[in-house]
Amino acid sequence: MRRANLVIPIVLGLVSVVAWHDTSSYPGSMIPGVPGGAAFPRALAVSLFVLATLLLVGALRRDGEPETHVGWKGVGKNSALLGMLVLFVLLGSVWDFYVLLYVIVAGTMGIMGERSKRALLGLPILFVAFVYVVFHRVFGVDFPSAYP
Amino acid sequence: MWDHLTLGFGLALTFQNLAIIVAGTILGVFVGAMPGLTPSIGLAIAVPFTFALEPIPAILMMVALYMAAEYGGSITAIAVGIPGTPAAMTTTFDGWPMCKKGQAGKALGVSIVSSTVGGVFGTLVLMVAFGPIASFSLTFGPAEYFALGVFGLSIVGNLVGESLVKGFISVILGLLFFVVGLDVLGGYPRLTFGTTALLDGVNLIPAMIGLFAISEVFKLVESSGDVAPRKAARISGSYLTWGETKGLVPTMLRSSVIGTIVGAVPGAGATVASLISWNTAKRISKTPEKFGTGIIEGVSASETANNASVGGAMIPLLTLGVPGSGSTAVMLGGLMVHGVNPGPLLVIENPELVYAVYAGLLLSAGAMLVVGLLGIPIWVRIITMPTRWLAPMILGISLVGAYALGNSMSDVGMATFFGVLGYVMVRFGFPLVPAVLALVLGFMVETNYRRALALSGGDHTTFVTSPISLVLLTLAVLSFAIPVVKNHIAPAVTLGPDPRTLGTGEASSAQGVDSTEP
Repeated sequence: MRRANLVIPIVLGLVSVVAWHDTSSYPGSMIPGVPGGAAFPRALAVSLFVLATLLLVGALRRDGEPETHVGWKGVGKNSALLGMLVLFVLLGSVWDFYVLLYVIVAGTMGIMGERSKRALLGLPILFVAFVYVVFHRVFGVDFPSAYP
Repeated sequence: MWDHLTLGFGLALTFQNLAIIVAGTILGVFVGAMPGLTPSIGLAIAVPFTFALEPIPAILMMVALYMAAEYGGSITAIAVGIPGTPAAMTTTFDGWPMCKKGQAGKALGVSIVSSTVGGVFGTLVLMVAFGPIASFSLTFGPAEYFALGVFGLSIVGNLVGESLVKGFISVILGLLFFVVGLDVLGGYPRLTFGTTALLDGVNLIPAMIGLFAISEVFKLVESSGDVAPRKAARISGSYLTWGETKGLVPTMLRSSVIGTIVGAVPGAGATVASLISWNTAKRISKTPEKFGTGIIEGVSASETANNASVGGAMIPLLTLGVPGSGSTAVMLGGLMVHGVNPGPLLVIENPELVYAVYAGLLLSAGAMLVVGLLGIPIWVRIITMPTRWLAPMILGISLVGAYALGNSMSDVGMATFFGVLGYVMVRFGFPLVPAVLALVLGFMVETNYRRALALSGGDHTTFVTSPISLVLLTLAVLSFAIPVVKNHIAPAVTLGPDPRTLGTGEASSAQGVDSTEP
């Protein structure tokens, strides 16, 4: 956690620099005396830079803290979940939405430790059926589907 | 006012709307009762369900869910000893000890009655306050709205979270995300980095679904396997008597006032309301030592206040268009999706909606009483549902809801992105509510700033020549300055050695807190 307390302010500082840099391409205001579209994001960029600096200074002053244990198992589970979500987003419009939804619900249950085959099979099917009935039939939402 | 209420009831008392209120109440109690789910998450998940509804049924569902969720947290707080919502934390102080003494039934009875009284009181205050505040806010111009937005964000950044700096960083991040997209006044892209997908800006509802619901799923996945399954205590024992209920009237009235007032302050919300109410009840009690050991006054003080805060939080939302909490921020997003813009013109443009909200809140309190009383044995079983079943369903509904908004996977992608961002923020101590409120209030702040300057010909004194604007901006500065002075500057001013440390060799840190975190 100590390293994160040093890295995060640096990342935030970089975000503020990138935001400031992007504003350099904005046109000026058409109305004299009125700030253009660059003023607000620039003010935000400066504020973020100042706050990130305060955070970094605070973290450096607390540098005597012991390193916090990182739960790598949790990181692994979340990485797996994130991977599934990315695939869901990429494939959602080209594959069957309901199948992908089943996979993501069952997959998340599996990541979280569900081992019962009945639960892994039954609960996601019930859930997908609920989505089909409520969102598609009742609310009229059209999900991408392999079936007509 | 009674004419308005009659009209509101006339709109709300249809079979469809009553069914929606009951459905929202059941969903709200469930959301509130499940640890890890908050009213904000419940509302973020429920908003997609309202897309197919007209504005009035949609808002009836949202207010019913909000009201019921604040009560629902007490079920787990009492039966399991774990608060279902942050606001129910205070309920555990006396609710769980009562359960351990075999008085769970009484505690749950106190909770539902007190929640209903608080909910009704908060609604009545909303009905009385709406007119005067809305009339007053009709005098607001761009400068005043800019100052109001800044004030709201300064309070939220201050009150929410463990650190002032992190709270304000959260606000700035929310405002930066608001900037993404086409400039409203200039029409050119900002912070899109050449991506056409970002030209429409950040879509509010998927962002909220991601920040509140999907980030929570990441947290639950991370901790899965580390937390023992919940076991609820057997609900038995005596129930609340009529005499005990009458004895709680002073507590309920006082807590209702506290809850409503605190609920109206942006960023304060139900958690602060219930804590202040419990502490106040303890301080003025003739037997303060009994608080925390399992007494009905303790449960009542907490639960009355957190439900009264619902009406309080609706006051700035409906009159000024300024959400007072994460939950009302999601409601604001939900209303905007339906083309309704809360604010002083609401009663002029959509008067029936305002009256329907009054009736909806009162009917929700009634529905909550019935659902709460009849459903206690069911809720106690449901809260033991394994998290490994609950989290995937929350994720699934979040993804479906994000897609249903615009039939687009890019909204799902946006919800996923904000889910990851929200998880990272929470993991490293950055609160989410300020970011969400900033995303919502960003338009009010920037657009009115530029409009005010356009009207004044670029003269910045327009923000201080208006008394309302001057007061609000001064309060905003003070809300930032006071914690900085209190935590950093005041402790550094030493008044001499502390007599307690003389001759002991102890450091002079006894004189003040050497905190490096504001």
